[in-house]
Amino acid sequence: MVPGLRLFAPRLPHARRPSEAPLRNHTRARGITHAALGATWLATLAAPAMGQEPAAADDPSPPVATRAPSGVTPPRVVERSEPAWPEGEVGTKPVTVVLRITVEADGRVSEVEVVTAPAAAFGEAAASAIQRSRFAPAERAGKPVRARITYEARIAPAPAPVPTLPAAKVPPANAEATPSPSSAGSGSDGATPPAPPPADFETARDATAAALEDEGFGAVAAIEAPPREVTRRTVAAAEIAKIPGTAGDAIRAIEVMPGVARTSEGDDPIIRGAAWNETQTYVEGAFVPYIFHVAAKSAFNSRLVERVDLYPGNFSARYGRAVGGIIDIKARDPRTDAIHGLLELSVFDSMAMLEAPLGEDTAVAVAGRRSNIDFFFEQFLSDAHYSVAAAPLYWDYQGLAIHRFGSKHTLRLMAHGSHDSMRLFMADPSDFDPSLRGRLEFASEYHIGMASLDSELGPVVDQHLQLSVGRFGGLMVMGPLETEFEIWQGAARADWGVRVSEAVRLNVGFDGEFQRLYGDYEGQPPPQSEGDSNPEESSSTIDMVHVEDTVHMVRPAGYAEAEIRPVEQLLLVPGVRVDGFVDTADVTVDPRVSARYEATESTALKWGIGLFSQPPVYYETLEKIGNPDVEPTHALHTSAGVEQAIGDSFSFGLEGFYKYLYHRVVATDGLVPPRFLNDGSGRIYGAELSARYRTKRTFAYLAYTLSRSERQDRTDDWRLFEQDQTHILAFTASHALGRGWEVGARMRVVSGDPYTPVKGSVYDAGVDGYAPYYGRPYSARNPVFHQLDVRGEKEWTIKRLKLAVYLDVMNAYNAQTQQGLDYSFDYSTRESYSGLPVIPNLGVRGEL
Amino acid sequence: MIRLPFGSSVLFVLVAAACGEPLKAPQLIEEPRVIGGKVEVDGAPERAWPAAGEGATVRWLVGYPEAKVPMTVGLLVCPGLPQSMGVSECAGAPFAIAVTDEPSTEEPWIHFELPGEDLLADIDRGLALGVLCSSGVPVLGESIIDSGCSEPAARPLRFSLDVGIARGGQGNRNPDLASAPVELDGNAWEPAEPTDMAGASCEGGETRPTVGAGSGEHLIALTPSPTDRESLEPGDPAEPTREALQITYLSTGGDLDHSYGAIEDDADMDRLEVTWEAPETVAEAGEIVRFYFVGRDLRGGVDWIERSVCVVPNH
Repeated sequence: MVPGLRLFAPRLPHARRPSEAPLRNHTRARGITHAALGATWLATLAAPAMGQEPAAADDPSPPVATRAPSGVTPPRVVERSEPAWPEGEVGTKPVTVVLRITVEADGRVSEVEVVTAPAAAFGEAAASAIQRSRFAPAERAGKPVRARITYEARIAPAPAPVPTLPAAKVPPANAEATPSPSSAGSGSDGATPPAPPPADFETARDATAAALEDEGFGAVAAIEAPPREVTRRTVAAAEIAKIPGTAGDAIRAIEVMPGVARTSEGDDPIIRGAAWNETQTYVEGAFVPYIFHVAAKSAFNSRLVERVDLYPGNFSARYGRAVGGIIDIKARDPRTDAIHGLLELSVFDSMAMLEAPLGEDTAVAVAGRRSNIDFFFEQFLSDAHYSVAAAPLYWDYQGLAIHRFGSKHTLRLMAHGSHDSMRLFMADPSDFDPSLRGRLEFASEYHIGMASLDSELGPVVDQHLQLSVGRFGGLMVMGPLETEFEIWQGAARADWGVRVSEAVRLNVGFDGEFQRLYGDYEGQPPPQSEGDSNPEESSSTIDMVHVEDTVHMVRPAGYAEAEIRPVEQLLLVPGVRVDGFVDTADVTVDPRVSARYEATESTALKWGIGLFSQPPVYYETLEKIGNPDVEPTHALHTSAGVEQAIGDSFSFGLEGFYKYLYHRVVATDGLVPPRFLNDGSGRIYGAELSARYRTKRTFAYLAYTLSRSERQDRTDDWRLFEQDQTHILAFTASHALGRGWEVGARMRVVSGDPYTPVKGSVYDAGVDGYAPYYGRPYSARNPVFHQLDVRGEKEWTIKRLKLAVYLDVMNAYNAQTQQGLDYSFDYSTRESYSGLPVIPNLGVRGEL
Repeated sequence: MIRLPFGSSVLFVLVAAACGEPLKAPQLIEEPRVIGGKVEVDGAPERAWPAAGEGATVRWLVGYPEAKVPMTVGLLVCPGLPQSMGVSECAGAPFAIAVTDEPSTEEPWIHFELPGEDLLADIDRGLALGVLCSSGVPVLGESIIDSGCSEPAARPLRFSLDVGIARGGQGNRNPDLASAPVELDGNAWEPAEPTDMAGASCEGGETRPTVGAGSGEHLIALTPSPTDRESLEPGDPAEPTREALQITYLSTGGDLDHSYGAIEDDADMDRLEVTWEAPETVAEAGEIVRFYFVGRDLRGGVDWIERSVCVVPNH
């Protein structure tokens, strides 16, 4: 998708960027600061829980329909152990559980992961059964090989308990026509003896077994294809809720992965030293204009997320318009086994969800959420300073429908939207900045509708078609500073996969988007999107600009990519992507290639190199505040790594990477015309280590990144990237204690962000403000950040009702590490501010 | 594509706009500092923008927490670089330079003349820059950042002011705060005597109001004339059609509730209020607290007035 303009927040006093918004936790935090703290609580409370599996990452998770790689014969089940219907679960129809399992070369099932299950008990039952099953191993060229496959297990309902009828009860008149279990009689003592299963149960059981036989493994084609990308890291839905400190949020769950820098709550992720706008985020392949609500919760409901894929670099030619990374959020299919409902109430928001099958081939899910902050927001404000016209409010909705046309076509329809708003009036101008006065208002909204059709056009051709239409709107007002915009977007994508031979598969595709953007902006001239050379100046000493414009962006692209296996252990994926940027009259051609060599059954080597391009941020090309002649930024990515499995429970990965950015768009000194030029460059290099330990009850994941990200603006010396973090260490672990108890912890130790030190200031008598001047850009650094988050949960099952109580404690030992510096109005004194204090979050969850 | 980081932006604004205790209260003068600067065209001091070929004087207002401190000053006026942010810099040779070697308590000022229209064609605005030194003499460098004091121990006070240039019949007037009624607790409040030094005892000066130490909050009201907010040339419909007026409140003692007041371009009121809390304790002979009210139309028009009160012990 098109990289974009961060809705430009007018420059605020002492110039903290949004990404550095402090949430003070000391005595200065009175009045609205408490409100900010309260709002951040939103992000940590009401953590939704999805599934029961502990966290995992760095773990490719292909969809069920992934085809087997060429030349491989999938494993076959030779001795099946049937999963039993869990005790306490009620239902009349079979349910489906999707598992991801590893079948060793000796036919043994070594790893089992529950991908989706209607309830945890079903997942456990299916996992237990598959581990008791025996397989004929997968084969390549006649030799048994280890394989990971996706397995759909169906569990039929248990026979209904025989009701105890009064001995004197007269059988119904049609008892002969419809045999009743009660006709089996009862014992003389009135206890219910074992009853033969009813006829309809036998039928159902047979049907289940038949279905399993029919599907087999080859028919489902469930062997996991090796990733086309050098690195794909995945968090599955079942894992999201179990990561302490992320509030069960799907996008924030990627914080545990290597290469992902620590950011403030609600900020866009920083991937492998790339700026916020250099990583693109998709929901089901469609762009969303913002990722988080005001309370740092994902705007797309995490309960409807199947998995989040992260591509930190060297991604497939299928993706483009980004020189950083890709985050792809996949929505899950609605459940088809029965009607499910969910109601969740918390201090900060309320959520309802309903899923239902509509016949054999159709299922739908709808969900809605509304914040509750407006009911108590004014309690956090100082009446003397603000009046509340509209308290913070957010809501979102999602609707999904899936319909299968036979076995070869699947139609998915989805609509989702989100809204955030708030309006305050300041009684007097801010003491920090007199230009900050009057109305403070935020509003943002998007609505997206999309349709996709996946088809098997023949034995060797499959197709994916997708169309989406969206409207985005936004408003940000801070007194005289104002931004308002409206965007209409249409996007289309078509992908075709053709198996040319046993050794070659060709993927080709097209994606294009059209946007009509109307914007009205009154504020300071926007600086370059990364590495603002004047980060601390308040808006009072900056000349304002006004721009009102309508822009049309047309951006078609095509790609071709081959998956070639010249020898059985080696997969080569050469590809090329061509992007057109009609609005700026640019064309980019980006060749890429990656390779994966499976040296042994447990060892894989991987490597990739390629070019990537990204158009300028939209405002950088506007005549009045930018330069229409700036062109796309380019990047060279290269990376190499190894994946190693050791036994059934332990695996690790090690990768090195180097990225070179060139033709970067940078600002001129003081933003004097032409304001922006393609004179910048950048270099990012480092190594990422991930280690995973997993047993049935214990999960541990270690991610460590050593990296350096630097930029060169015009002809200046190299400087650090504004969020360069040399060391990023995250350790996550959880353990199921049994009887529904589970505990987990996450520890992070991360280098502090660099910042540009202020050396002094000059008083501007025209506006009564101080303009700071600086030392070397980003030449100082905050101290090391460290934080421990812990989580405990207890779940009860009462028939169909699941009840859980959990305690999630963020910053458990109340670390007070410096997050940045606060300056006095004249920049003569400064003090550090730290992040959030310890935040315990007690929650209760129930669902049917 | 626009991406919206509303999550943190909202928090950012809430925090940035928060009324927490600042590191230093901007409304309290705790050390000598420049608190205002204005341009007065020769023969028409109400005009803030000189035209090509006209002379004008830039006057600076320095606030002192106690008695005035003699300082040396270096001043210049030059064509300004067309920049929209950061520390202002000259785009060419100065129109005028003034450097004092002898420390003085006189308010700094500099007179200059704009060149003729032909030489001003490429100049967007003028720029007045200055450095105050408590010891040593000012050293003017290539930019204001490079300028300082000859005594390394002296902390230079650097300051600037954009100087608008009247063109095509368009100009700008300084607001006239001197004629604005000022009240303290509902009573008319007369201008401070020049001899009313902040922190000095209350002897003499019978006209200044007296308040008791620890007497709590006092209401200050200021009513600028509606004519201070000039009408603007109609242009972009989104642009305001009238000036706003921003008032800075400063005092040398006690606690002003806030630093700024503003009358917006579309406001139909002209009265501004701020509360001031008297100091809790003062010397037996009482103490003078000096107030400064600096008005700005944010287009280069500036004016200021001064008031004082005597704070006596509350026996």
